[in-house]
Amino acid sequence: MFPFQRRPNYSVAMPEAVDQSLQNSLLRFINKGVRQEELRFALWNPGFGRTRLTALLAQVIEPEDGDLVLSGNVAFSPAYIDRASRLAASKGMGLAVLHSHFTAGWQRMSSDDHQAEMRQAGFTLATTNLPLVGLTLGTDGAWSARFWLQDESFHFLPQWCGDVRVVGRQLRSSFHPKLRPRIETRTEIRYAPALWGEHAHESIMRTHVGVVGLGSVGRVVAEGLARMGVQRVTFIDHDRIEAHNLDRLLGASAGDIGAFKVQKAKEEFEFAATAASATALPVARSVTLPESFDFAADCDVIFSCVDRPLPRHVLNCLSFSHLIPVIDGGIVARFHGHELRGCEWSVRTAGPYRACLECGGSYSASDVDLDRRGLLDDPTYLVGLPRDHAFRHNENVFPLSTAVAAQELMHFIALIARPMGVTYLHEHRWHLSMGLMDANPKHCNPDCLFHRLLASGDSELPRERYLTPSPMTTTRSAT
Amino acid sequence: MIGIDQLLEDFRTAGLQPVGPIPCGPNGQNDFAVLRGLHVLAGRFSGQSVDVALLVPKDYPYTPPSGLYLNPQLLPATTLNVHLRAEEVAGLPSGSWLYWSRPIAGRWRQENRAQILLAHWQSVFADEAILNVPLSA
Repeated sequence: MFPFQRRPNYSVAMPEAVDQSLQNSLLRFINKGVRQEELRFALWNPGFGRTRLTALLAQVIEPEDGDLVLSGNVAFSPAYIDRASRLAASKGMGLAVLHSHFTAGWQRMSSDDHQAEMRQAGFTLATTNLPLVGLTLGTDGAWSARFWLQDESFHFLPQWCGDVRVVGRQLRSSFHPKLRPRIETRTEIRYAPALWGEHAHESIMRTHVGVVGLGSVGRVVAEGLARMGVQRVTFIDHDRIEAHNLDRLLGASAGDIGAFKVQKAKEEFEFAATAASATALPVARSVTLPESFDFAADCDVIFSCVDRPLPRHVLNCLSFSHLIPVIDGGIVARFHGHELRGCEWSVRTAGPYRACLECGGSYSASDVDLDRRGLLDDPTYLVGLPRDHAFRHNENVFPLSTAVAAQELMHFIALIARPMGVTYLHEHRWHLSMGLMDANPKHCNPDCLFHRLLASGDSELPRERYLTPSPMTTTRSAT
Repeated sequence: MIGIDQLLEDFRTAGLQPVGPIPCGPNGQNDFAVLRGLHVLAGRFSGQSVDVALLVPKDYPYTPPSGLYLNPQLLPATTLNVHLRAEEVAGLPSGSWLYWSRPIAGRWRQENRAQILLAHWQSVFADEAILNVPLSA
């Protein structure tokens, strides 16, 4: 029996290429001025978050001759849905039915749509053990979606999704007008909408943003999000504020020592927020643990403000498998003895159709195992590393951290708001020694495994494979 | 395949005969693979034969092992991030195992993974940094 029938939130996400393929086929008549709907079936993988179930659309099933009857409306043959549902079942995937409408924006269902989808819901559940997902495409490319779930009387009813996300070089979302309504502000936001447009700024405000790591970079990112009008954020960090953080942690003072960083960040975010009813969810656990990873999987975009290889690896897996873009930044300083020889910071957006964090240089895969085993917390291990090794330094001084945070926010704006049509910012790398910033095109290496995870949820690489900390993490013995 | 099954397959494809999975650790929750009789090709221990045990990440090949366990120990457990980590190796075949933490520098490549690991270990054995380490603690 379907084990996750009731979730507080539902969503659909699809890679850019799947969206493009569907737009081409579903709008092919409408774009020529012909009043003819179109229809396709597609396969999806479930993506589980703490409160959200996302249908991750991964594959379109094209019709064969005779599969569709076009008469203004569109009907499909039993053979088409039978073939699609069998394929879904054989792959352990769900089935989605998608069709086009003649109007723009978030679409409601006509009574014909309702009947047609409801009639297939039982068959689909029985065949795939996953609920039917229905999607409608408006003439402006906006998607709307619903899951068909059984109520207590075993009747199938549509459970509307809060949003549908198309993830690629841009994050393009359409929002349910009631479940994810327009955001009211408590102070006027005048200049940002003037820069990149009212609609784009509305999308920024409605995006659910995760910030992983609430240290010197993450706190400034959180402040920026609050003032930009983002209404809903999730903060994930297991650390508490210590005395040595005070020289770089925005808003923190001696009275905060001992408090969880996420709790302080929540207070500061809600104080500075320009959105009405802004809320921050603090999660005081490491994102590498299953219970807090679930919270990250509820987000639409994640800022990676961590400095360890394991959480970066976890977020890299999440970004591809669950279609959640990750914006990552880091600082590197090089020393000769105690003398500074160079300092750089870099920022990149990782995820579908972009370089992954490993190929982009955010972390080395070989170091992930060190982190899992607790060696990076082991003084006897660290003392054995060369004096200038990256793991023996902490370059997060306030001016550098604010620079990284500001550039991460620019990547976020480009990803969603597309100012002047710019969606794809290359990796940015600033060099102290030259006073220059490079924009480096980054691509994954041809043998990169992460692109195999695209829209796979947990089917290709189950989360317990990369989340489960090695038991040695708890036995940091010095020998 | 993911995890130790993939690693064992990689080494078999490379013509070796790994032993595993060997459940180890306090609760038997760690999967080890063992390669017996690996000949050291260069450096201070050239000509010697060692057994290599690997604690295999559960998401291999997305992440590789960051080090290797050696039997015999070759070096004392006090230098150069060479550690006696007895609590990790309970359950391995008899012998005196020592952990050498030696992650691969640079990007972990996916083609010929077993050969990459073997070449990396040979370079570790030949590392000049271990030339002057006393052989007793």
